[in-house]
Amino acid sequence: MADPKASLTVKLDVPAEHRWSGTFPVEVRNSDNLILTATGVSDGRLEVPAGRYFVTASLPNGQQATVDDIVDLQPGDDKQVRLSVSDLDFPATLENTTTLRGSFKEFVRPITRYFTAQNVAILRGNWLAAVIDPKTVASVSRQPTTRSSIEIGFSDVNAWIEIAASDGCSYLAVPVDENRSTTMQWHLDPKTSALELKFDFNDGELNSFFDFVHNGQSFEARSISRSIIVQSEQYMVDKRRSPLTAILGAYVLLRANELDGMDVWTDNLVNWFTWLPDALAIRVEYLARVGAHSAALRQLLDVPKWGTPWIRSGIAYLENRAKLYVNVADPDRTDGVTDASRTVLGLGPDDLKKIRRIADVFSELASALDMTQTVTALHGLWRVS
Amino acid sequence: MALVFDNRKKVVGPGVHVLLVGVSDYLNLPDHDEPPFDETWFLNKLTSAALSAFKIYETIQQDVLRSPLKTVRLLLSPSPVEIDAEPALETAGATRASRVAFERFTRDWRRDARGNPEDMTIFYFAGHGLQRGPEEGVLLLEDFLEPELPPLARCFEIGNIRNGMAPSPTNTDIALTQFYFADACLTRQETQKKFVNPQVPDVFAVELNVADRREAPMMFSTVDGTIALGRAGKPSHFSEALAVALQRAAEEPTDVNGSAVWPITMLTIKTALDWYYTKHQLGTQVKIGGVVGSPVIRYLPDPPDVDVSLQVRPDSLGEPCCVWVCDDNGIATAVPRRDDKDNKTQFGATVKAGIYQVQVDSARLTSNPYRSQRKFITQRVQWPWPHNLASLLKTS
Repeated sequence: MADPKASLTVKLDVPAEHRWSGTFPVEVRNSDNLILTATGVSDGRLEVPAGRYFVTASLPNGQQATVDDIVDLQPGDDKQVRLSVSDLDFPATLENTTTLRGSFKEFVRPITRYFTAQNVAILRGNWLAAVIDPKTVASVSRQPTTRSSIEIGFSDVNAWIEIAASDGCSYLAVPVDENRSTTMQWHLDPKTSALELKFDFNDGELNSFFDFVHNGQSFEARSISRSIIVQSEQYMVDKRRSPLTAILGAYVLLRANELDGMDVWTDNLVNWFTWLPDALAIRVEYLARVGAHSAALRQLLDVPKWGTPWIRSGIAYLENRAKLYVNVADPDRTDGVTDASRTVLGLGPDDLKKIRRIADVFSELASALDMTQTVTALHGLWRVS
Repeated sequence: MALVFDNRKKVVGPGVHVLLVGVSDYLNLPDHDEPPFDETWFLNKLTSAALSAFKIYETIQQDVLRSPLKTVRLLLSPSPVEIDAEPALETAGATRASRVAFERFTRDWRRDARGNPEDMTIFYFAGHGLQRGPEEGVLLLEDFLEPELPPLARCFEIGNIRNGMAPSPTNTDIALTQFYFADACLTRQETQKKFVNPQVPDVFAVELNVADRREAPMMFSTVDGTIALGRAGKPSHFSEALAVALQRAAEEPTDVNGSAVWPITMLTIKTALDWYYTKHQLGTQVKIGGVVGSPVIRYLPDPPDVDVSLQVRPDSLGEPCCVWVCDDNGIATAVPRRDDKDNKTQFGATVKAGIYQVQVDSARLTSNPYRSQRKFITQRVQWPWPHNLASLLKTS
């Protein structure tokens, strides 16, 4: 008797040497009622009941790759279908230069740019610690540059672009994955303050996932994030590990409030990737979300050591939680509801002072966030000294 | 009057609790057509915020939500321009949107929402305000800048409302599906600087949440106030687009009790609003924060309408050139050329969401008609759908 199920593997001929690579989200829908029967990723084997299906794959810019015909699957079939991508646009890599020296001629600005009102510098180090506690001796260096594009390697992790103008400074995070490098281009319009940012993480799979997130392709980003959590060993332990991919996936699932499996995952992130500021933000938000406020608060008090999150949501989560804990701990609030919560936190006077300062700083950072960017971009701030 | 709609006794199962706030007539701000002043934070009275909230009130009464309405509360401070355009603003039973009234209404709204975790809440605010990051916003009520008081004493923070609606020891059975809409974004820098470390009095006492399994997305219009809410006597772009989205912003059918239905969620509403903003060249997109999840605000029983936009090149296809979209049953819908004398390659029509091919009939094609690949057409498709037939033309 034939197996009533059938199998389907979807292939995409993604052109090499382009911005995106790896697998792409696939959707298999019943051709009669259009209901999704299976979702997965390209190159993966999908098991579906026998039937007639319309098969598509999504690209990070919203384009749809399709097969020419409806796929007819009989019981026991094991078919492979190839999706046409010939009509679709695959963007090139941002820049493939690998060294600062080699890229200099292409990236250097025209001479007229020397006379603009913007002074650009590359900031290296954790500047947040000194902002929260001015007594901290900050190990921050500032390297002036005339560039509008740069490649930052993992050895330079925690680099920020500082653009100083008469009305304040902008700070742009440069997320870098472990043992990789990030190419970044920026343009800040001095009149409108409109910011154009482009990143290339020199990894097609990470580029692709980042673009799904940045372009608001939420269904696809969630689908990829779920597969990341299933294969978390690969992203966090083995040779091809990508903590930045794991971090992006965690943000997507937090936003979706899909918390299953995230306890161990976020705990590992914060234990293993102490160089990655967003690991802390994610752990704090996860703990607070599940009601483990005392543990969340303990982690939050450590934020000066970790630095400013590279992803916008991290700033917002930390601001929201810091403010909540300050309000709960405020001894001037005497309503019964808040009193009960205050007992849970158990904050001493020194920690109360510290969390107040963290809340103040993150309130300023949140109000300076560029809401058009996924990566942290702050405008109109004081100059980090 | 507190409730403008009260169906609590009739609706036994899950239902919806709605709180709508629209503030145009700011008591302490200059008129909408006066120059803005530093003393009044460069803000003026508005001319469409109250009407926008009223538009949403009218929309939700048309049985468009997933569950039946249980309660509706309406706080409106309309401008004379809006009352002229819509006299029902004065007779709808709304209360003016002062801070005191807002506190009372919001607490009552939460009390009603504590009855059933399967209930849904909707919060909509139109008026002055500022988004501060993805999770927070300061929103201004009609008595903003009341003399002798701290400047933000007559405002509220949406974060306080959202945190106060979280499941907690005192909110054990609160509705776990919550929608927040803020039609209130100010982007002008001179105003933003006033909102650094704002001291805004709480509406809800602060309490720590228990495990928060809510689906509670928060959507901000990000159009500058003058563009979003300065439409004299007309609802804002945001509210107009939201009302349309509640009729057709579905993208993916799902099976409910053996029938295919089309859910509208916050994510699909965002797609619809972004498309509207692009169409009207508003220069931005709406922003979603909060715990987004995938909450369904409405199920459509049938595939929704989709505005299809096709690009068929080259110009030299000439006349007659007929363009169709054909579904899998062979039913074709004509797609007429857009009325643009400078660009004869654009075609558009409205069809039901589904799987379609494009068909082009032209005597100039070597193989007539041309048929494209199939595409699953919903509002998510990137428009226009391009078809370049240059290589298929007969050589003359």
